[in-house]
Amino acid sequence: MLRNYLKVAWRNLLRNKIYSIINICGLAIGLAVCMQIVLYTGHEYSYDKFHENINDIYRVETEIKFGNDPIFLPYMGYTDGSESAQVIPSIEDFQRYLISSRVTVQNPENPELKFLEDKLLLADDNFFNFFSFALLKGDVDQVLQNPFSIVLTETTAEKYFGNEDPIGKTLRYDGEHDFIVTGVAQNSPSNSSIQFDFVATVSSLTNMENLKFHIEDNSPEFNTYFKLKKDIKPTMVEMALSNISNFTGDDHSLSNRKFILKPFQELHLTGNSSNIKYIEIFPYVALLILLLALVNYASLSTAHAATRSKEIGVRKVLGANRKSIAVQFFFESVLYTTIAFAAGYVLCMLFQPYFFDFLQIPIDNAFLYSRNMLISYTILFVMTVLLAATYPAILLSAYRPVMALYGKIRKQEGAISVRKFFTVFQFSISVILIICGIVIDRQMDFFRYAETGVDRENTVMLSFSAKVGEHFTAFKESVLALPQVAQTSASSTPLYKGHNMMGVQRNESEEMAFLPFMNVDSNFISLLNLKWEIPLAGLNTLNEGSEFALINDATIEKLNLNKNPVGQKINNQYEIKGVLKDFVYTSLHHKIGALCLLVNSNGKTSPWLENGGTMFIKIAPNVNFPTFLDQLKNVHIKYDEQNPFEYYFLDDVFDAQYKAEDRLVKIFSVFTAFAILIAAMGLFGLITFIAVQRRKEIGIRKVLGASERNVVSLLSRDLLRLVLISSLLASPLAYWWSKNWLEDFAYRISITWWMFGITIIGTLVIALMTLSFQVIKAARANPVKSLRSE
Amino acid sequence: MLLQLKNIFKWVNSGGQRVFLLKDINLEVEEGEFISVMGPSGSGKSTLLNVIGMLDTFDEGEYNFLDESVHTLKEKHRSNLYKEYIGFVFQSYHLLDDLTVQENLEMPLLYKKFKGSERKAMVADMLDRFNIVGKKDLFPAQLSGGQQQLVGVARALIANPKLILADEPTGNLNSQQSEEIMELFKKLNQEEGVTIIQVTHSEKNAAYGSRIINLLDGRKV
Repeated sequence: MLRNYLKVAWRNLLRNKIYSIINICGLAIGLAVCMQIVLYTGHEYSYDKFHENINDIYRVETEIKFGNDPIFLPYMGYTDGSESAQVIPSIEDFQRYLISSRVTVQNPENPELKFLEDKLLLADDNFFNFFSFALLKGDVDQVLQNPFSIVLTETTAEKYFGNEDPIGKTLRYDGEHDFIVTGVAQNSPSNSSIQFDFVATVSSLTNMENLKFHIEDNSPEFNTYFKLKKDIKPTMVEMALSNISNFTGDDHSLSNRKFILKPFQELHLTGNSSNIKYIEIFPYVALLILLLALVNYASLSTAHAATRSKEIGVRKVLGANRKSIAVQFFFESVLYTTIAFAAGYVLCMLFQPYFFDFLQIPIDNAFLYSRNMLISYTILFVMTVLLAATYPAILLSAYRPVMALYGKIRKQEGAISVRKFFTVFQFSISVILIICGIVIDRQMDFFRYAETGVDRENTVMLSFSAKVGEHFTAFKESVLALPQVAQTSASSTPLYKGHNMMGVQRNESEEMAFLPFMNVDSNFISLLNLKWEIPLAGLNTLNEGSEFALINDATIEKLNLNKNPVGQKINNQYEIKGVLKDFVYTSLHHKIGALCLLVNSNGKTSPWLENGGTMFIKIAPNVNFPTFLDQLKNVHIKYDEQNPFEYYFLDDVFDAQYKAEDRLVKIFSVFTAFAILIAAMGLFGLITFIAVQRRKEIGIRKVLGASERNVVSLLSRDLLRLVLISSLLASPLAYWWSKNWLEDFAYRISITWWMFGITIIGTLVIALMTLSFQVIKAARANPVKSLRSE
Repeated sequence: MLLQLKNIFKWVNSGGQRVFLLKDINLEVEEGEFISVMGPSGSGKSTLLNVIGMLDTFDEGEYNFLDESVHTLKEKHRSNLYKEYIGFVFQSYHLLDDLTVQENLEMPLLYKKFKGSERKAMVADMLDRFNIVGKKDLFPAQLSGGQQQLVGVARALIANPKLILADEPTGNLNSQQSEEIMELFKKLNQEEGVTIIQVTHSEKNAAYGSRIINLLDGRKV
């Protein structure tokens, strides 16, 4: 029996190629998109779950308070970690590591193999015991036993040693410290929040003259993890930590601090990375896309199956009952959905690299075929089959044999209204997606082009090291000598990439507050074209004298200063000599906060320059960038051979702050395209169905003198009205969502009527185009044919 | 007695008025009869056939089939009853386009849950009897109308029904094909004792039967 069903289904599929392709492709595409999202969200939710004791592991964070201004550091001091573990018995084990970023590593046997590395961890010797990163070579208990041992990942081992066995070989750290390779670890999985290329012993630091301050200062710099004994609540440990009044080597300025234990398994999802910012939206979107595809499938397959009413009638006459007809159509759908699912899976796997590349999210291949993913796909498959197969099976098995055999399937008012409902649903979703897409896109556009008070055009930021800082004046002269350069300035930190903080006493109060600040030179204001509130008197005459402060409007309020604060001093040290209008120095997500620029006098080398910093270079318009960058690189190499040439366009850095939103725009555009495609297919199914149902009516109308135009408008009017209804239903929802979304931003666009107008007109045009083929075909049909068959 | 209709009424409501499709029909059919139902278009012939075939319901009256009172049976029993005892032949053949001749013949057996080997034997037997072994792998679209109807009759017969209901079985056929089919019905009736009720417009075809029932506006005349 089953074979008979499948045989009929298969032959039907082959006989109606176009219909089958539309139907299967629609579902396959929907499923592929859905699988892609499952993959993405599954990956984000699987972060760190591979660690064996994940439930007992917590990361320690330090909260430091100045007055009411708290800052959180995801770190702990070196000795704080070990001492707390000694004193508090609930802590079973602990692990600390320091990330060495921007350090050169070299294979001394092959000096050309020298790279700048970002992911080198200096960790406690139990690293591979504490976490569940697999070792390919070396013993878990031995690899980090001795100082100056280092473990490489597979990829890194290959990078430095090719196919040779790296064990026992030497790597040179920062040009002076030699580490012995003792093990090779598997690459850190893409779903690990701890990413490393090297793990070296932290105890080596005590023997590294220039770096041992990390250990000795006990400043909060170490990623510290505690493994608690079973059934110990983290709050108990927090309490115990707050009771330890004095850690050895405590810095007194940090006495107002608190430790917080964060569950390791929640770190990724509660973090602030752009990957997860909108993660909770995606499962809904996936479900929506799947639903659209399924509705479409049900709509198309029932529309098509109406042509099979004869078969249903015959089968019933020959002894089939409702159940066996239902089972038949169910299996037919199972066949179709299985094909669609397989095609969808292939599509998903084919496009997965591009998709994740597009979103800039790396995903391990191993994860693609992990057990959890396979389970998710199986659930998705079962859900798809059940949802896709049920409606056609129920609807079609209800046909009465006499009706079906004598071609008297009644107008099927029910089926038509169900289908109309489907169409409204599909178009509503499309309209919502389009409107939200427009709003997001406009907001992004606003981000890019909003008046921020900073002239970002033709500005390059070049980070320079302490080496360059030593000869900064000479370096600056060389850069200025390049013909393309109009102006330069220097600051301690780049713009839009973080800033320093200092503790400041508020005016006329004991209270402390954090004040963000940057060290800059006096060109900074003119280079970025910042605007004055209270201008500095005679900037150019200030060739002598100590550092002074420029503040922005927001600072006046924050520090409770006088309306005209010029002459007042910050921390009794920096005299305020001018006030700048507020300008955006972080992202437009937040209101502009207080900022203090500490300006050193022209021409003088300031102490902060010696630690390196950022050079701002204003270049002339219409410059050939590649040549300019080459020349700039050559200048840089002269002053610093070791560190890489690292530059950014100020515009790019500003835009990069909206990566999460940018990704949202991208995903939305993909989803919207699919939603429209699917909705159009659904509409196509509906018009096909209606054209068949109203054949006789159209025939009669034509015999009675209706023109083709009359028929076209008769058929399209109804459906266009549906699309209009969808738009009206969708608009308030879209408005609500967009408004909510925009509230995340301190600076935002307002939602205007044209966004809705354009969407509705666009949707109507798409709907008209979809309808036209079938409608014109129906209108041009010869009435003799349609009337004779009755 | 094979079946008995007593005071059968069937109506539809149209524009507030009751329109009778069947009006007070009384009919007794013995096993082995060959009955022709005649009458002008709209006189209720097909409706009567569908009521007898239990494909359609009626509003009033009694219907007994082999001592079962059909009007009191539940849908499920009713379909079991006609599945077992009744075979249908249609004017437009109603073969399934996606199935070959052989598979079309096999279908009723599938719904009656015959075993695979039995089905094969019965289908082979039927192909043989109707001389269509050579056409077993063809699809309906590849056959002439006469051949399609031949398959239709074979399909109706395959499960050994007691009663064959044929609704204008030759309506779509030319005179020669039509004669062949009628000869076949006659042979089945006389040699194998199958009871046949056919609806027909043609006097000539009606003459093959042993009894003629004339209908007019839903009434027997």
